[in-house]
Amino acid sequence: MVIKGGVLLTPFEEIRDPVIFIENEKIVRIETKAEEISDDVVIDAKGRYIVPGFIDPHTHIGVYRLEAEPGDHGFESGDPLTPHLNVSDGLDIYDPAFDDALKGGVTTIGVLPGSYMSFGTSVERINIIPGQGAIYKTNKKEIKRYAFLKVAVGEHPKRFLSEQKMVPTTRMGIMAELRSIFIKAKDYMKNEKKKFDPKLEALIPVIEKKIPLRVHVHTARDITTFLNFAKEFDIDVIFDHATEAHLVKEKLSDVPIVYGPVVFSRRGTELKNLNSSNLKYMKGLLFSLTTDHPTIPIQYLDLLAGLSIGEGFSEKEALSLITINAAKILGMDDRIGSVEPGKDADIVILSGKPFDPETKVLYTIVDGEIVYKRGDEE
Amino acid sequence: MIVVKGGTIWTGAGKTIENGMIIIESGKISYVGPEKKIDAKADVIDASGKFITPGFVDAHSHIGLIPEGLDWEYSDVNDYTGPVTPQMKAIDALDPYDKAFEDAITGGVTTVYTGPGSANVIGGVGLVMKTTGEIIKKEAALKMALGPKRNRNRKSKEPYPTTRMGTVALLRNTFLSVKRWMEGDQEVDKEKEIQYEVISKVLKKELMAKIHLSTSPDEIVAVLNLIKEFGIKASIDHVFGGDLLADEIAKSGVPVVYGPPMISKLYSAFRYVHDGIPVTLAKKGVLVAIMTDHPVIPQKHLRFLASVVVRNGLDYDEALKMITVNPAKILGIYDRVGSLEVGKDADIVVASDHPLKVYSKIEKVLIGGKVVL
Repeated sequence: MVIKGGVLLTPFEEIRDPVIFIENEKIVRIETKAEEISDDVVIDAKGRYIVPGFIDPHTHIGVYRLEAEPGDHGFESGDPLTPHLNVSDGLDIYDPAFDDALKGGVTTIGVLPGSYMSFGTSVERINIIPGQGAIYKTNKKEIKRYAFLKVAVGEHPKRFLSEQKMVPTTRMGIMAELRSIFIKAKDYMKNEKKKFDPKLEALIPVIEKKIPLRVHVHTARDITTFLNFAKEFDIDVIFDHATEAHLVKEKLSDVPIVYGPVVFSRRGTELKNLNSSNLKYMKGLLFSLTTDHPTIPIQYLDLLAGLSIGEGFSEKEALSLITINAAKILGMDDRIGSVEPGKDADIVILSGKPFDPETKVLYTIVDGEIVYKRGDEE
Repeated sequence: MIVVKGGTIWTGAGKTIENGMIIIESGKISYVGPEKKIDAKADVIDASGKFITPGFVDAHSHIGLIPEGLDWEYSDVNDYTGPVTPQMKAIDALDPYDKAFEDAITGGVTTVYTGPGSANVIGGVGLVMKTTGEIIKKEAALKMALGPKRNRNRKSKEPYPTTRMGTVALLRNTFLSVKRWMEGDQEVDKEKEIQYEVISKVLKKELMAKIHLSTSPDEIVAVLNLIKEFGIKASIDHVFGGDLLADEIAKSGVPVVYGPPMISKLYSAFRYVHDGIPVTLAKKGVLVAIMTDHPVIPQKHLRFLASVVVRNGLDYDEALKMITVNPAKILGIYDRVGSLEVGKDADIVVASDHPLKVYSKIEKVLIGGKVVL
């Protein structure tokens, strides 16, 4: 397949009239001189914009389905620590959100076990370790089954456990539970005649730093606490939501952040400092943006990124927030996140400038295959 | 005298003016048009290269009734006293110190309707205010809500209907009973009388009804019938699934406050939600405004929701009307706000670009001629 013409935002640079050659699911080369092209599929992108497929590292696609049913809360409610559960085992690949993602130019998603929030209530609910997250392409291919382990700290697990008449019920208690299970897992790793324990098994790749912890966190105090915890156990962490990250920016220079969703109401005291304008303080940090689908429907990821331009980011930086930065945070920037030779052919062709509300996705290409093509109806 | 000078002025009423000028005297607009010579004595706001629009209006919000950054004990939006509570007034619970007001201004939102939620069949009286705190209409609309109701095991004074037909029946029979009382054909106790006085204002068209429809198209049919039967003035709000009955809504002339856009089909009640609905309704000629339903979507992001409507196929002009002209008309305050015309309140937004471009920045906001941002 060849994509010819238009404006390519890689997103590192802008290349006019590119010729992008795709073979066997990969981008093989990009040329700028028009030449005689003979290929089965040639897409003329004249007057269009070509961008890398968008990436949202934090979604619940397939976990909460259309018309939520019992069992769709996204986490087990009887046990606050369930590191042995993997989201892939309960993921509905027929969730229409996969189609919405393709129509919105999103090609890779992180899928995490969830939290729940009934409509109109003030605070989210979640347990301490809801389980393992996975990485999918939106063509429904699983890329990595156990990609990260999700942990939640602060007011949200506190609220949930209190309501369920479960323990622990304070921040001290939550951190003590986490510390305890990590110490047990380290012992377990040393024990040669261990009795199989699925929960402790699940912690081994985290302790071995093969995968990171994804930490659901909002406040500066909880971010600080968890930085100490990560140091104590020498593990990699990614902070998710990180509502007050701007207040402790100096501590976060080498911690990746999946920030947002930036359009969200200040439900409960923990979110009192939430504001999309805080994006302006996030410059210089390694972060990506998220819809937290279904909180914001997945197809609006690019519009959320557009808000960053109003807060002082350049167009390339805004595009990076939903492409290369997200790829780095997922540890997959060798494969996705930019349009460069050697990378997966995950490419989106836009009718006009990125971030403009009137711009439409014309083609979404995943692994070198056209998986969405805008109809001729409009 | 304040003068906003230069820039592109989208008035909401007629042609867009390039290199325009707005003159403000005593909080009101006294001139809108091309740049002209003015007296030296004026505070001049240079808006060259900027995009100028009327302040945004949200016709359906709960701002000030669920103050942000606080927990549930500060929520005063739904009262389960009983299924019919027209005696409740939003003004009695309003927190003008809700952080969301300050925020709303940074998003260019200058006028909002805020009122009771949808827990009750008749919930109470909502108000219209400026985001600076000035109350425009203490009694702006009587909130009604279709769909099945739950009293959540509370000891309510009267039982709640639990089906969609039960809710419609209660609404119709309440109207019939109030009518009979108005005509002197029946006496009711004092407690009912207090309620009936409020409802009678709706039947006399002195107060509009704001009717929540979120579950399914059958509610739309039922409510259009009720509006016609009793000849009341009303808007229908949320209206998920409205595209399926777009012709009927257009024919009825009843305006729609749609939304909020940008929510997922998370609950079975949301199965008819999709963001193409306001586009279809507008193209059929329905007068459509869009809502944030704050705190569902934060108040300041009203314009972001209009951008979402553009993304779903509407042009910029029509989408911008959905947060200016149209909500003002629906709320019956178009004589004061919603467009930039002589004699209207000087509620003005100056943005770095068209405000529905998500990357534009709101740089200045005036409310009643006062610079508030």
